[in-house]
Amino acid sequence: MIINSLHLENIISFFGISDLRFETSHESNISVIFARNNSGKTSIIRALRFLLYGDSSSNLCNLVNFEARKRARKGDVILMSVQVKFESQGVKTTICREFTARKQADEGLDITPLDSPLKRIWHSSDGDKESTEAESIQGHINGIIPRELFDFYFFKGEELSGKLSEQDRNIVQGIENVLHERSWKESRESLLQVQAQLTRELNRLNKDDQKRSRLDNEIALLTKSLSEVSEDIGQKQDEYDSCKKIEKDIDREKTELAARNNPQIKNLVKKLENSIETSRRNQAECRIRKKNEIGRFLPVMFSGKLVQEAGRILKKHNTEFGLPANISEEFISRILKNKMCICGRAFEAGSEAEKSIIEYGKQALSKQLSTTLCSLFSAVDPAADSYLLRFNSAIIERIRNYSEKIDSFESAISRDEAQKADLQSQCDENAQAEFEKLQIQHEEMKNLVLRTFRALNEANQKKNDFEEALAQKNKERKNLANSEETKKLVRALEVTSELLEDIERCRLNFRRSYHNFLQENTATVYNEIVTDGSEAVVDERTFLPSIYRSGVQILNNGGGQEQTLVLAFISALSELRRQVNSDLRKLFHVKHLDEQCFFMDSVFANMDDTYRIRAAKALAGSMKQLVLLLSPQQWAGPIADGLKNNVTQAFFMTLHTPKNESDDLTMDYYGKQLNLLQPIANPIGEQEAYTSLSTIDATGSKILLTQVPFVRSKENIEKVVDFIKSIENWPAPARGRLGMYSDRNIAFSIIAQRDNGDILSDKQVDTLVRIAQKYGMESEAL
Amino acid sequence: MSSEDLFSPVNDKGDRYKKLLTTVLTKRFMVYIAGHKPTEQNMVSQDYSNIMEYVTKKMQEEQNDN
Repeated sequence: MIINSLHLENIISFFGISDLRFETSHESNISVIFARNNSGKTSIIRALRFLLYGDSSSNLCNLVNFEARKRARKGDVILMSVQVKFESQGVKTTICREFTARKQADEGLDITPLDSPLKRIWHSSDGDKESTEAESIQGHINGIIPRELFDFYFFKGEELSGKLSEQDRNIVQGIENVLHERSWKESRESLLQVQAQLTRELNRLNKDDQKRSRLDNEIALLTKSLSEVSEDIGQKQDEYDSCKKIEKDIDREKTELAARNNPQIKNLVKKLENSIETSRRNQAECRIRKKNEIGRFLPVMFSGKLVQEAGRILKKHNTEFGLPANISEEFISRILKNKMCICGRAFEAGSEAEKSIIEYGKQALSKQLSTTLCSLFSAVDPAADSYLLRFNSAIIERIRNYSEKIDSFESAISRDEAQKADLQSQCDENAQAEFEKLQIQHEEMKNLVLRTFRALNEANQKKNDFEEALAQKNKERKNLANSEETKKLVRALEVTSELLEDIERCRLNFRRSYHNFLQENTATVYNEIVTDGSEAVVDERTFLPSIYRSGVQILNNGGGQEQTLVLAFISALSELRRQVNSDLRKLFHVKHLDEQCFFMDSVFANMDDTYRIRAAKALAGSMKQLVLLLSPQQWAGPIADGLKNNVTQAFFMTLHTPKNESDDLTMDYYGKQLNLLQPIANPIGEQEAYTSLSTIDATGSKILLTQVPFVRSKENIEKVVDFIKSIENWPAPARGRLGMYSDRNIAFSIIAQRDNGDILSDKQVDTLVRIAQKYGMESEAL
Repeated sequence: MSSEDLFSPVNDKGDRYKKLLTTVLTKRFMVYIAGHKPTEQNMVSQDYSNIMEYVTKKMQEEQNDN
């Protein structure tokens, strides 16, 4: 960060507006700011710290300039601002912090905004772009000047020597920042976290390993069982197949046996059965016909002796024979009632005929007519009425024929039955025994087949169960990480440990190299200034410098050596930071680190003239931008001689004080009298001192810097704007600036800078004064 | 000190290892603009992934060699 300009407004000891424009075009630019002691040199550093990092105390009231506060009336708003324009990474940028304070009735201040956020403006060809993302801007600033390194770039010389101690956190953190210790540490911590994560996963996998081992055992057992049951199934299948085959063979044998032996017999038996059936059917038909014939014959029988004979016979045979079915009770009753036989003969009541009919009726109604009766009729008494006999002879003949046929059929049936029984008897003897034997075997075999089938099924079921269990276990095992993953994790752990070790080795290597760098550069600068035989030694562990003589550390050094050591070390540390950045950029693509400005306050304070000369020579040309805050006493001949060729810009602070100082009010700078002390003519109440900044050119030509507060009105503002425009064409280019001073007043500053030796003439200064007075400005403004 | 010297302790460990080491360190040495810096957890995850990727490739190479 090379600062182009610094703007201070009503902040700390600076009352009103102070603009410092630094020369930055040379290889080495040294700016000097002269100020008496207690004039506010440190306020510049304090203001810069506030700008870069904000106010850590969070009490912005402390930053409000006392004079501005005193002059403000109740209700007035005072603007406080610190602004730096710089160039970084080739981009012109302005950063600023500003806040306002409204004066309260009780003299207190109402600050807005309370945190005064950092603003950033990029100046590009497309115009200015403002960003108010405080976090982002702060990150950017921290990248340029980390907070812990602030003291190395903006420091107060008198206070530094005591700070080069391990007890000072700032210096330790600053060195750690330069060495990127945080980056190394974070890298290691990240790897430690990775290591922890890997260990956790490995533990999980180890648990999986145990589970895997258990599952492997179970799977092995299941596989073995499956193999056994498969083998068993094979055997059982063979058994079953074998039994089945035997059963089939038996069945086939049975079938063959049945096919071979039975058909002839069966056919014969069948034929016999058919024949028997036919005979029985024919016999039954003959009987029906015979019965019918008898039915037709019966009425004939109810007469004379025939009836008597029939009755006798019927009586004799009583229940053995029956009469035709068509002789119903009604029929008998009608005959008895009419006393008229069916043949037309009458009979008398109580006659034998009537008795026979009655008897016949009893018998006929309860019995079926049988063939025996018919045959009996066929042998009817020849003494019977011949007419009737003749009349019935045909019937009798037919009855006899039927009887013969019936007998004939009966004989045939008996014969066939006997033959059938004989055939069946033959069959049992030849094949049945074998068949039955086979049948028993077949049954046994069927039972065996069933048993083997069941056993086979059970074995198959068992196999299915094993297979399912095996699939389940395999699935579980598959879900577990495989041992390959474990190997990988173990390997990753090894690599992580290796990385951790190597990072530490690289860090130590890194530190060793840069320690040498820091040692050499510190010693070089130190030796250029100090010639008493002492030497600067940078500690390898802490990187802090000490002074040694003859190998022994010197603890109570003279101020000169100590101050020189600080200067040498800070210079070397700055170089180291740039060197580290340069080296790391080749590896890690880190951002380029710009040249950095240094603000050094009273850096020569503790040195004698010899050291001052050497220190001045050492500083001259060694930095791109160096701002030296010096008291008049420090700008003694030796320093001035050492620095003069490199001084490109000079400023001085004027302390406006209510006290009567006995010191010199002015300082001579190349023949120009710098007004370092300005008594306040009429102090009001408890008047406090305040500071204003003025610029002198490198050769001492005066630059007018003034601030003109005037009453805020539209008319006044227009006049001032016109005036600012008009002075742009003066021989010495002048710039005017309008700024808010308070609600009631507006600050108007004019900077006229010498160009080519021309300065503002007295007349021009008078003109400015008149204009200022015309606007009602305060008399001391010029 | 040259950039190579920084890694002199691991120069004999091969380019891939060196690249892994560089990747681990880069994230930490990089200066991030505020708001764009990966979270700590993300950076650890990246380290984890990079290490696992390195190991995987290394093991594959060894398998191929065998």
